Amino acid sequence: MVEINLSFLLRLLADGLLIGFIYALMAMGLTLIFSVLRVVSFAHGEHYMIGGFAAYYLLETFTGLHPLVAILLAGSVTFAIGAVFERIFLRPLAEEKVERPGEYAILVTFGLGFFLQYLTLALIGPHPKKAARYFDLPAFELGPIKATAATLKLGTIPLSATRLTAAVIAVVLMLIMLYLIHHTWLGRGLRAVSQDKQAAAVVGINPLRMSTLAFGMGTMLAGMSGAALVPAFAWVPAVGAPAAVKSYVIIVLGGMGSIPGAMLGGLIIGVVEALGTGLLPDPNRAFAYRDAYGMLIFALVLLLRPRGLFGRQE
Amino acid sequence: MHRKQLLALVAMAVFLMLLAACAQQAGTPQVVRETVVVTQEIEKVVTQVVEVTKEVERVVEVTPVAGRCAPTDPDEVDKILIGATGPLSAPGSVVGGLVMQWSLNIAVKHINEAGGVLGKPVDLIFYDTEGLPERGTAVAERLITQDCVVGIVGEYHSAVGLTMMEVAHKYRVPVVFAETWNDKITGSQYDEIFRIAPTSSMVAEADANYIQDLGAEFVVIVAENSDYGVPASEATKERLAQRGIDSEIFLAEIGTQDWSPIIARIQALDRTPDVVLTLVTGEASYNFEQQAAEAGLMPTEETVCIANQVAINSEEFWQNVPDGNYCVFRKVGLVPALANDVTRKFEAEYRQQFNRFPESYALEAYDSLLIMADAINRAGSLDPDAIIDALEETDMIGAQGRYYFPYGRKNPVPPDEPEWMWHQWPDPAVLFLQYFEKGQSADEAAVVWPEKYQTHGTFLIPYGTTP
Amino acid sequence: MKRVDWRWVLTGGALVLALSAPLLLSGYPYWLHVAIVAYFYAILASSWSLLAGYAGQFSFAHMAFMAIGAYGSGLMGKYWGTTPLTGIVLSTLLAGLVGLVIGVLCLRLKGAYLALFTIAFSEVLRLTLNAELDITGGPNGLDLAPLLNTTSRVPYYYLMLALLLASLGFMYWLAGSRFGLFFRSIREDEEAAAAMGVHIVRYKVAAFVITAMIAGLAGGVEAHYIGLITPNILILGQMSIVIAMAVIGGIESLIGAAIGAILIQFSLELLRELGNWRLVAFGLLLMLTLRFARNGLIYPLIERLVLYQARRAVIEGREQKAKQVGEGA
Repeated sequence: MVEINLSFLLRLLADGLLIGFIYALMAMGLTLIFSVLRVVSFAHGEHYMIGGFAAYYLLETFTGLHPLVAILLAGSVTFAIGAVFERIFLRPLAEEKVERPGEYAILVTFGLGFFLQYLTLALIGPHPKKAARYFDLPAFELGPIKATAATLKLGTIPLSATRLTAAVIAVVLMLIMLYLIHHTWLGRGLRAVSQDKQAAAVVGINPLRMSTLAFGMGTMLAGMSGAALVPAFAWVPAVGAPAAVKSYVIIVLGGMGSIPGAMLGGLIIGVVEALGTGLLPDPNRAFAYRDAYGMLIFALVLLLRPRGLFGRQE
Repeated sequence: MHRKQLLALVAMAVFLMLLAACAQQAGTPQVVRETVVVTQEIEKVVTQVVEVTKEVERVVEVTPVAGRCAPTDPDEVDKILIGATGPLSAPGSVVGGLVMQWSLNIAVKHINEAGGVLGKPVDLIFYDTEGLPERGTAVAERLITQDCVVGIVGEYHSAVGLTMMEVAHKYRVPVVFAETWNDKITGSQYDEIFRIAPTSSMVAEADANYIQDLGAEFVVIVAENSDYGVPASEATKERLAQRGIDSEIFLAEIGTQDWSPIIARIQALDRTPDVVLTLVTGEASYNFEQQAAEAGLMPTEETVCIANQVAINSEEFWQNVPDGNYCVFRKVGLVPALANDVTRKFEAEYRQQFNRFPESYALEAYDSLLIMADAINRAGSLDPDAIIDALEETDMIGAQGRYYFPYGRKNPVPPDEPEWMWHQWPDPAVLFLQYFEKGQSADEAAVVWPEKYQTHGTFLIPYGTTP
Repeated sequence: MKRVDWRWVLTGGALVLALSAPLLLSGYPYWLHVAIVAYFYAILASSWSLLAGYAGQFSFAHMAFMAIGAYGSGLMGKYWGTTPLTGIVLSTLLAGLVGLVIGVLCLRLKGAYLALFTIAFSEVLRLTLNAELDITGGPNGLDLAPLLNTTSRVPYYYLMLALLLASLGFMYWLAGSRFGLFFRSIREDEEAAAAMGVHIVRYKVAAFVITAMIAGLAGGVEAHYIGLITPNILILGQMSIVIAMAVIGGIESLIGAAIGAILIQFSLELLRELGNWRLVAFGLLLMLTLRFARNGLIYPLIERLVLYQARRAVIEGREQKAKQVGEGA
């Protein structure tokens, strides 16, 4: 029997928060796209997957490449894919030339995801890949805190170095994004377009360019989350789907288009999943239903408060 | 609107619970009984319609007597067509399927270099079964009725094998299954079905024996929620219990990435497991093993890590589980030390592509075709009965050693043997290997079980030591 | 002299072809099987296009309703000993009931929200079917008794064909009736439709119930034909294939979606050797169709034919009139 005590709860909480930061980064990209384009990208998981593979192959090909540079380059790759896709397939949407734009956007991004996933499978095959640990922890022992290259142990709570790294990268990237959005010309442009397209155009902001930028930045964030996580999980072409579903849950919970909502939502989902899986009495069901906990929250939010925690009333 | 939706939710929940309750009691509710009466009437009509269609069919002779289209006389063909299957796309285990396809192609090459079968070249038709049982039915049907193959070899997933064998039985086409473990496959005792892979029971038996030899008292079994993981974990638990060893099973969805909550649960158990057995396949097993290593669950001085058999792909294993040193893994099939000439010939070719010693399913796929070709040669005909007779009399050396099928039509399975011994090769080697140096190849790993093959004279190289 | 109406010639030709297929394919039972499965997908794609294209309800739960039909019947047979036919009838009703609940729950949700909610529903159903091993058989799947007492495929072929034709006929009747008009008016402009007195709630929910029942019925029959159902049928990839079929055929045309489904099912089967590349091509085709041929690839052909006929009729009418005028003079 599992003994439920404080350290077990703390451990679940720590696990949940750690993974939650990464969920949040990915969801942030999705919500950024939605805030400007009013589109939910159903290819978000595939950008995450491609980001991971891009980082892996960059590090494989150019030995000695700094992992952070690889993450940035992987982000540029997915930025390029996203921007080109937006330019070709979503431009009519921004120009308001499409009948029933909502449905068009769902289908065409869905098609992109399908295409990218099978293209990757056809090109590189199904064998799992994993990048080497980006940073080894320095080994030390300080009272209850103990570290080896792979693990930081706080008392009885082990934290994986790869996840710790990914979480730190996620936090830094999120802070940079917040700065970009709130303190730069680019951010003002994006926010202006997301609030009122016509008004933005009047003050000299090109809404079409902002759409391309927003979509590219959104896919870039997905790609960078993938690149940050590729040392943590065995990477296969199908790796994106579960991650994408989590992002959908998070942005609905946080409020579609809300950046603080995505951040908080990510943490909440991370913690709920960890607690749900850790505490449900039957261990087998607890784990089998893991993805369902988020889904349940998601359905309840949609039904009871569709605008989420921070969403705008529409 | 809020209230309406909540009401609907509640109504749905109540309905589902009622349904579940009814299902549990297995009683038949009133509405069902009433519908039965109505539908029985409809059924009578439908039956008549079916009868009429059958009549029409008979008159028009739409369906020939059997859909099997392979000729029985070898002179009628200019090449011997043999069908093969395996998973080449998700949700199947694509890695396994690709390796099997590759190995089968090597077998075709070798057979044809040696003069083919009955003086004719062998041609292989390989189809993707996607790991889906319904694809198994469709693909087997296509091979038999469309492509006119004389026999079928290969397949990786038991669930697929179970549906394929029904089709093969219906059309009477011999099958040599390469890597399907489910007991029921040879347990069906169909004339047409042969198998050279071990059965789940044989593997569970080996796992339990090894764990007993390790002196374990408490075992945690981490299994995937699939046609492989569920029966395998239950069979192992049962056999451990017979040996007085406690065990607890943790099931997870196929393809799970993040195992941290389940690892937390295992570590919060009131006793530390002596062994953690991983019955999860594919990349999910790597995720579990690495995360368990990082969390200090296994391998440690107290807990032995038994990784999943896919750990034999050492390059992949070390890339994905860099902290998995001292993990033990089961290996079905040969170790290089036991290789014979056939093995070496296959290995040489296999290494050009994969640069490693072939996995069990590669060897099995290769051998399954050799066995089929050998039987057709001895039968001297493409007649299914002749081929089945010849298969029952198989006695040949393949890449995995000497093949023979002790029980079959002429020599029924005795009552004291399990019924799956029918047309079953009894000698698949099940070994346990252990990595003891980071980055080591599977060929260099220590053999720790069974005792007679031990390379380091021990059941386990203790954690953190060098032999 | 009366001109040949090519519409009827083509329809008739297609029907004759479909009806005689078992004869033509008598030596190829495998292709007969492919045809049965293709009709099954055609029912799903066309009913989905009724829901999405006509009523504008972008649901990703269509395969879930199909699975409810299949699992419902299988489970009733397993626990209550019902015959397949009873099971199919009851589980079709069950699918309708679940469709009703989902329809009511989704009333306020639009576009992406609706898509996400239905994905969630479908995923939770899949997880449940996987996790409740003792009841559903989990990933091993559930065995179902055969529907017809025959080993031949021919009766199943006609059954599935009849089901396809019946559901197409029913949906066309529906689309042509007041229902169809209201569906479309809701899709185009919900508020305007409401202002004009269309009872939006009723019609939106009705669209869900009807299409869920059609999907459930098709699922029940298909599952009893195959004899096995696994939760894998609910993976998102399967749903995307149905959507792609409808889109490539023509999302706003029931017959276009059905023909699209049949053609795609056959071409996926023919191109099996290409492995994953055929799915790559398929994804690309889906995107390009959406971008450059919003009405799909099949529907415009049908439309052109119909327009051509109409134009001919008009021209003939005029000629006739001119003739009469001439004669009169």
